[in-house]
Amino acid sequence: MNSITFIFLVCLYALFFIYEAIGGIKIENQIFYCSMLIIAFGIPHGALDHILFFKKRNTSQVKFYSIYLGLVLFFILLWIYYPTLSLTLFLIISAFHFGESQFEDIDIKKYSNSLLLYLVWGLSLLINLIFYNVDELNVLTTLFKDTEPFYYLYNHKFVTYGFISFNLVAIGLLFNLLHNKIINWNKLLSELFLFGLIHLTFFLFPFIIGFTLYFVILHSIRVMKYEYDFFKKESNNFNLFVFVKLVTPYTLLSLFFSGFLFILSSKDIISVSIPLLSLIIISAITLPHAIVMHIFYHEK
Amino acid sequence: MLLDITTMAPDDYVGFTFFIGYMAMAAAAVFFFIERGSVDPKWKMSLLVSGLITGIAAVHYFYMRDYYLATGDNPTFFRYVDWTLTVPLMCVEFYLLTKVAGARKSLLWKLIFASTWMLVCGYIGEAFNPAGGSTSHSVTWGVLSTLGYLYILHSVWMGEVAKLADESKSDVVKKGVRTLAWFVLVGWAIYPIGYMCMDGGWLNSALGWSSQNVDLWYNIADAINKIGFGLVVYNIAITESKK
Repeated sequence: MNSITFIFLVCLYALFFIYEAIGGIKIENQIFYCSMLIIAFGIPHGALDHILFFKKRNTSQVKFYSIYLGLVLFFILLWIYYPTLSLTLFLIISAFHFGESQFEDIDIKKYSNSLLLYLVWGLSLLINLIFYNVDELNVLTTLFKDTEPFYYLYNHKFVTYGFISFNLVAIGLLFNLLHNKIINWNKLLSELFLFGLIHLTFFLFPFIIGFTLYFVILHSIRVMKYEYDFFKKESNNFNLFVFVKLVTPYTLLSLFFSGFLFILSSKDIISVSIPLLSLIIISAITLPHAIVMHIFYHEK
Repeated sequence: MLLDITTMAPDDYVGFTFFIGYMAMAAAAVFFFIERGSVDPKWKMSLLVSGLITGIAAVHYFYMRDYYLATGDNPTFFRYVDWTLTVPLMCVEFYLLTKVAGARKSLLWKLIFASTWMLVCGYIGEAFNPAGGSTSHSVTWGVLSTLGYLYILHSVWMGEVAKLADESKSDVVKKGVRTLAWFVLVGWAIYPIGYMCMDGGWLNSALGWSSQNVDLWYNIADAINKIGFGLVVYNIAITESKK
């Protein structure tokens, strides 16, 4: 167990007692507090993409920003014309990215199935979240007209088969890592323990809370810690204040544009519901971020 | 005389685990006391403590088994008397194992204090819960008890105990302390499940998990933790003694 898993465990215990004390959290409060947490940790964890990229590749700034913003624009256009395809693509990219960041601490280069492991681990994570919260998701998606087409995701048979197969393959691949001597028993147990803990979280708590717990602690904070350690290794003068200063400009810029789009949506200037707009914004910035992080992790 | 014999239903899993628990603890205690003669003098204390943990638990399981059979109730009182004696002793094991790497007495007292705090708060939360279950009561004492648990968990995984184990020259000690840390992380986590199953507890009210299951959870956890804990210590002692 590392410090991130410990923080996750402490938060789980805290939530157990909150639930025991008040019986549950209203959906409006869930959305409000979870959105705040996702924004506070989710945006900063991707706000250093440009710095991380230039640490690994010698590309011109114009080229980098053109490709980065071009990918953002491409995904927005894809959403306009092919929403179902975009959602599927977004889930696959996210799954891969979640899986990749989960195994950043092990030397996986010599493992031939590493890409498969990232993808399957991430897909099992997402399908677990859906599997344990199908009823809740049905209600949430039918609240808005433009999210109704995503019903295909909650088709029960697909979810059940996906749940069983992805979990089995993910666990099989973890054992395969042990078999190939890439990890030891202790690491395998740690990974299986965390996997079980994520299952328990998604099973016990509502969809939004379950996802926020995973995304904020096990993904965003974990990635930021990795980034922090990377810079700290480069310079002894690097500290938390410098890190916050580094992430602030692009965090504020992202917040400004997102806020602007949310205002347009709430005033009905663009006819996209807030949940769908959030999904579009998140997926548009996830695509280039996942690519940058892949380069960063892979070209160690 | 025969009238005093209580019949047991074949599906009385709680009763079943009380019997199994009692015999397993007693057998483990005998094993640790006898095997104490096969290890180096520096490991004798560790094995003595392992024997005491399972021995004390065996005596309490003897009483708890009878209490459960006679009344059908949870033997909360005996349970906590047992834990108040055995859990600090488990913490003593961490101190004894890391002593070779320079563990100080202060570590021993901190671990004993944290474990006693955890148990006393848990006892107040469980034994003095008003009839029908009071949520505020169980939450308050549950939170306080959990603080003690988290302190121990942090210490054995990332804190003083973990650092001392890493500094130890012996790979067996390093591995052993890590295995014991797993017991604290996974094995000890079963107890809060039991706590939340009691009347007024979240798992009881939200998921409908019966308070009858509390003893089943506790008996399974005790068997795994106490005997397993002792066997890990035994393995360290015997491996190091053979060197």
